[in-house]
Amino acid sequence: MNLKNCFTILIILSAISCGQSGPEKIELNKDACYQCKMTISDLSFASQAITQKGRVYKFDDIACLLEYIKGNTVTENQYWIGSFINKGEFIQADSAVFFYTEKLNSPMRGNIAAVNNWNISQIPYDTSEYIRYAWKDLVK
Amino acid sequence: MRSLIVILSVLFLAPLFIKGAQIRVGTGEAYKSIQLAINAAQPYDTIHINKGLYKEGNIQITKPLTIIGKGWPEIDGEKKYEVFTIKANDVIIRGLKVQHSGYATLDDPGGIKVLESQNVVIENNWLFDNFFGVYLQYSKNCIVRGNRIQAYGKQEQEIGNGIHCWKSDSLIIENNFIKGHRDGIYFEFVHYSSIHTNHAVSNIRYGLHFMFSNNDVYTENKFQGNGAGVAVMYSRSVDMYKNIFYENWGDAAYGLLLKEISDGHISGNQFTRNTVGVFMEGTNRMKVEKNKFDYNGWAMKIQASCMENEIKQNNFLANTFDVSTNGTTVLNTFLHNYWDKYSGYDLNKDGIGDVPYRPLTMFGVLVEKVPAAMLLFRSFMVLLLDQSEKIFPTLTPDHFIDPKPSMKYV
Repeated sequence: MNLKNCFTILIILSAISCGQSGPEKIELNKDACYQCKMTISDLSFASQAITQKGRVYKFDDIACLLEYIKGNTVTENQYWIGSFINKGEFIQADSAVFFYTEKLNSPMRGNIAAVNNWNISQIPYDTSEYIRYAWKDLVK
Repeated sequence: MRSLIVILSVLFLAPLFIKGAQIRVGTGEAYKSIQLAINAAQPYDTIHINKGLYKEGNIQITKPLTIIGKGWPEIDGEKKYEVFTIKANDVIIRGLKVQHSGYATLDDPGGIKVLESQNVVIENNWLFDNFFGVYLQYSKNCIVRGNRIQAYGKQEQEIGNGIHCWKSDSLIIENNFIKGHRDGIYFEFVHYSSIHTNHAVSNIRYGLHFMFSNNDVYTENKFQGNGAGVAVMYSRSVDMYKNIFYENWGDAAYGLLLKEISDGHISGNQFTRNTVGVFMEGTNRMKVEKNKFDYNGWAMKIQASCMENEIKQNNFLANTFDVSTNGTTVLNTFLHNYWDKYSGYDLNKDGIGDVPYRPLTMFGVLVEKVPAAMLLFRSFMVLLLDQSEKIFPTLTPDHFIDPKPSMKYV
């Protein structure tokens, strides 16, 4: 193997090892919520915060995520919210549409869930049954 | 005298006449279908179900009835329907095998669901492979007793709880065996209820889980090998006596997880072979007395957010770490505990050690800050540091002591 090949491999390796910025998979019934310590057992309400350093904090309920944000001064985090419709898919907080209804019975009774903004029609409740929020309404 | 005889005879004979009718269901009986028998029955009748397999979709009980199975009749939800829905007071269900309820839909299908009812008794049934086992909602004075509740939940899939109680009060949950559900027993907004002598094994999340439930008590239960142990969260005045917390291993697993709770009493329990015996966060004014902690990774983790807890007369044996904390403030008291790692002396022979015991080791503090440091555990350097810390405390909080450790097993 010549030196050039070596370099290419090194560069590829280093490119792979850093810069991973997307959401992480949440292991159902294994990962615990950073805020409330409860084991995450429903992906429809799960979310995660990724710090600039790439550290991932996972939450079982959007209320826990908001609680964490409130107690935290760092603002450069990325926030990914679990889709209520496609369980296991994560939506960037800014492009998510949030809806609140008591009928959700989320793990910590935050009772907020999110869908992708082009998926609003898939919310399985009547528009009169829920209140709609955008991310900026929730974090202000 | 005569009137007395009349009254007495009325009292004794009356039950013979008021007793409800007996209705039988099964092959060769008057009714083939349970639902039809229920529809035809008068309130307070008794329905006997013979052995057999019944696939009737969702069965609704809307009047007070006693339903008794003979030879474990199998009532099957075909993975599509909720099996029993009870919306009536004074219903008794006994001796049925309720199986294969619907799955993972928004309305949380269960084997037996009780809605807005009182005095319902669910006794000696076998609930097998249901999404939720027994589900009580807005109910009062109900008893769930002697049931065997088993499902086959896997870690990566969603499943309901064994006994799920929501916005109810005065419930009694006793002598049940629960395996393979999400939480064995789940209490949310349930008050003045008691949980006795249940056995929760290998449930995916918690053996027992309290949320926002006050004034409850659980005694003599055994929780073994559940995903993360038992969690008591956001509750007040929950008492825990004589339970066994056994083999809850894992990264986020605890024998007992206490979060935002206060004014409870934890006494006579046994915590054996757990990653963390008791984890406390935001926990205030709890009395932790006469418990036994043995073979745990950490016997207790008490976060700095805990205040005015009394940890008295407990036995700490063969734990890797006795106590650990993440802060420097000490707002909890330790007194008269027995610590097997105590190396002090008792010159006046009053059974109490003459020098205080420091349950917090320097390495314990270090590991709390840098979990990866665990790699160095039991190395010579760590031993040396721990010993020197005992003599000149620098990293560990000064007052984190048991001033009067017991010399003998309590």
